[in-house]
Amino acid sequence: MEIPRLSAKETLILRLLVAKGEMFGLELVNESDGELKRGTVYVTLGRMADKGYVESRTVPQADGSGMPKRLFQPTGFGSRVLKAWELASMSLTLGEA
Amino acid sequence: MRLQIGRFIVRCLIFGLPGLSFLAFPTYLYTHRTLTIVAVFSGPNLPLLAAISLVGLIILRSYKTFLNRADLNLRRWFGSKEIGTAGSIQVPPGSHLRVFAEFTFSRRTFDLLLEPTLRDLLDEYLQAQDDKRLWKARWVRIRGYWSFWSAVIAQLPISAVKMVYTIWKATR
Repeated sequence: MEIPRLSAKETLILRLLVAKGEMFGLELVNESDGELKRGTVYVTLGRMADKGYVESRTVPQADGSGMPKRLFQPTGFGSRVLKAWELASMSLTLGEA
Repeated sequence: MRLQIGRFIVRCLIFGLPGLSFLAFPTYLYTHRTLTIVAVFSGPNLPLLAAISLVGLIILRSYKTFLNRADLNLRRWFGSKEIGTAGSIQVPPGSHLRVFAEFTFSRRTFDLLLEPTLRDLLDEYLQAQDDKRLWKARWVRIRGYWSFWSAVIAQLPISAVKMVYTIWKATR
């Protein structure tokens, strides 16, 4: 079995989603203190959806623009990967110390 | 009635000027038809005629905008009250990009990547407009376009590889 890997941005996104629940892309950008960019956050989220770390649903808007907003949330698999990743990082850090 | 007269005058001006300027150039060539082609194109009036033709061309090129603006102003001055002081109708930012993205990319890429980017642009833009922060709105618009094209450029290699794979799989 291939061990799932998380990039720094994927880890940050998963952390935010696990901590705060469902979020919009723009909320993730605002919460990340400049670490996530507007232009690439959805590319990262799309890649994470391909890997099965996150899932999304649309929320229809009543402003007549025809453009729904998209809410993202972590999947069970994504949450487990994050937990395992953080444990692995922690054990490596403790091992170094 | 005043509105109709105003419209007639505006149309005469808008269509008349390029018409006259376009007529001036062939007339000049016709009246100098006995000269050689080199002599015609080195005549003293030629730069002036070319300039008039160019102005005519520019006016003709943008006549729709001229007409729409002139109509709006005429309606404001003479026309019905419902127009009031409202400005021209603006297309929301990102509308054209949305059409482009929907046409160019797959449904999944559009739904998951590009539409949310444009949605964020619209939200931030409308928020800035509501707060009467026009400069912020302009900045949001530029930043939104930048984000959209960043997303497109970041996604383009992935989409290209997927397309090549799909074609390869279909033709195998």
